[in-house]
Amino acid sequence: MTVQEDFHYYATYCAAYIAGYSHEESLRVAYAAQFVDCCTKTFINKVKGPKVAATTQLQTELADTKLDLAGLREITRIWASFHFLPGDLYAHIPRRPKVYMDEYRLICNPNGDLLVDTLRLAKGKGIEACGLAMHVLADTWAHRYFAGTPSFVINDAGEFYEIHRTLDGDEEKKIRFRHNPVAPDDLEKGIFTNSINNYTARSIMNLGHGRAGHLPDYSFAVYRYVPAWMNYEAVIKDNPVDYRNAFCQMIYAMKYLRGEHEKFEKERYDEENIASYSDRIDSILRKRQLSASEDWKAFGEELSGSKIPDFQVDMYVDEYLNAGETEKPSTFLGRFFTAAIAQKGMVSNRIYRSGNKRAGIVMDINTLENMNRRRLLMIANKTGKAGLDGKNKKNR
Amino acid sequence: MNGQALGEMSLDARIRKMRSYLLYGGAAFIILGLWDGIKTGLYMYFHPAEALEEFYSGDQLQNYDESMYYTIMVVIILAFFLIFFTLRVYIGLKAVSVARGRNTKARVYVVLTVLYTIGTVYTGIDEILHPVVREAHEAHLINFIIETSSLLVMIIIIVSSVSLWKLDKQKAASQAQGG
Amino acid sequence: MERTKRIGNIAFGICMLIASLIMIFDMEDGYRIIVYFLIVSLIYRSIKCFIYFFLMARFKTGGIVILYKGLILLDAGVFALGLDNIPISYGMIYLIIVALLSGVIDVLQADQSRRMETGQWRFQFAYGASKVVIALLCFFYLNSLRWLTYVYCAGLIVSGVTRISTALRKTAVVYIE
Repeated sequence: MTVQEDFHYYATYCAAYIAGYSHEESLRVAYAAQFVDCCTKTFINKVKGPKVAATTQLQTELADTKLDLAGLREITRIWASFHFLPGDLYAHIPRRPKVYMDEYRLICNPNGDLLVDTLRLAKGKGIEACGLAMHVLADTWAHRYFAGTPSFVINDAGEFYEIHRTLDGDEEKKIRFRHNPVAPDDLEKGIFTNSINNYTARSIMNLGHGRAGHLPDYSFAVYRYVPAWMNYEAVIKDNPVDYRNAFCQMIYAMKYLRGEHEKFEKERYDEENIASYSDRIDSILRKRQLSASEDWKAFGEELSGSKIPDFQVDMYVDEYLNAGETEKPSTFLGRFFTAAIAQKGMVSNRIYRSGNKRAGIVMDINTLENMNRRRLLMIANKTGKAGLDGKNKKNR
Repeated sequence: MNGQALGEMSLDARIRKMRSYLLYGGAAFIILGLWDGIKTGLYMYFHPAEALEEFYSGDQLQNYDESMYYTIMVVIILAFFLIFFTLRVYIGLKAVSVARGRNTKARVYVVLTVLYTIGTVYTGIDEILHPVVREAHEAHLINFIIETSSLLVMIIIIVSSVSLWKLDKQKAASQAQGG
Repeated sequence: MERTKRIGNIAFGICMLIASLIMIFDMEDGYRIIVYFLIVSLIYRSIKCFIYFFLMARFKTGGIVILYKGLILLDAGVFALGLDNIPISYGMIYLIIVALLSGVIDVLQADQSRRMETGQWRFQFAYGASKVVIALLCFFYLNSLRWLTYVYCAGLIVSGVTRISTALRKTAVVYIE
């Protein structure tokens, strides 16, 4: 999975500022949003934090995770909770067996009930929870049509054609893929990197949007492809439109989190507040480039009149390491870990309650009303789990 | 929400489906041919008497020359393998080519597939009704399973090829109307 | 790794070692054990493919490939049923080819892991390469059934030991940056 700093950090900063946060608050929101892509078990080990708060996995961690039942559930808990929020856990297709529907129902889509739950969970929990929720929200648009679980029958995809919109009409160009994760995508020649298809039911090659490479993360990309779950039909993914919706929905969501709206409604986008920046935002979104960080950064600095520092993953590490055990939960990272554990628990629990054991059997942390943050982090540290996994109660 | 896309299939989707069946079917047909060829060769090599009975009548069998026999056997085995495997490779490659949208007017491979299918069914029924090696039930089971696998793939190739022709015609007609 | 899978792998590894020893001292019995293992393994995998196809893959775009994979594995397994009725030397050729293909697949998967920059590819590559080398060596000894058996058994011992050591390895190794 790619680290899309341009949207998760800089664009989120811009949205936060437009929503009414100050420059410093917007930086913290943006940092938390981007940090979701950096909070791995490796990082948490370094700061001696609770491993259960991991919000992503490195390639090496994924490759080392055995794809047995426990490993599969762990992968699904992380990726479905933070990067591929399921759109409809109760989707129904006639005459499909449950084992198929368990994977189908994990397909990510925007404006789902889980998104509403995510924002309700983040309300009143601080800036860090807000940033985390914005990452989740943005990814529901970018990563739609893919599922956060290794699934050959859902996440495989083929026949990619990039659509170039010209004055004479739409032009389609076949996208070529190669399997070299080190080489950057070549936008000129239309050569992109994706994961290899090994025709295995549960392979990390079929996790998320691996088969589409970085295409979902490029805001300029408009492409047509055939997803595995769509019965040979093709779908057009219009990233400029989706990313714009994500941006406007983030503004609306952050206003909700700030208390300006009483409740969060699906399919509402704050277009009014970006009216004067509409063309600027569109031009950034549609510009054909591997990273739009510079453009978003320039826009953000114009908005606030303040400099936006580059993202530093270790920014809050010293604060966390130097804090005493009782102060850790009150640090930036401590609050982020709490938010992450809560989000993972909520999503995994909702998946389980829908009758789907793909994310394991998970206790809903938010039903533990008397448990305060400090105790929660201590327990999470000890057990290494967000809740009780019915199969394996030991630390791994 | 996701189910909106799963109503009646569009023409393009049906074409994609048939192409997919044909593409993988062609490759599978070639690979399965390996077992068919090796099985036929081994049968003729290890059951020479029964194999000979298929080619020579009773009187001729009385006076056969051993070295001549082996020469003939080697030639026949090689010929069988080459002919049938080549046929399979031809059918398989044509199917793959049509599936990829090249050579869409190819028809000969379908006719050959139909003939191959008829031949397979005939020899299968003949083997059941008049088994050459009467006690080798295991051999019959092996034969039956391998032949059935090939038969299934052949039927898929035939059905998807014919469907693809019809769908391509429909698409051309609708494009002509639209154009 | 789940405990049951670990135990299964260790048991399978031990069986491979026992089968290779039996084969060294009693070629025919050892050969039969190995052939039966192969048959069961191939047919089991083909049944898994069929089940997966009917439950899942038939709803997938291009999922018919799983059905074909199952048919090919079934044919390979069923074909191995007939190895009992032909001289051992010819049956050995089949076993050697299977070992060779398995080694090639391991090498290709190791290459995939190498490109994904994981640390595990070297072990898998060495394992796959050893199977390929042993299989190719076997072809040199086709004329001497005794030596062919020894070389093939050496390959089995390597595979058995590798399986056991893999099962005993720790899972979830985390790299510190």
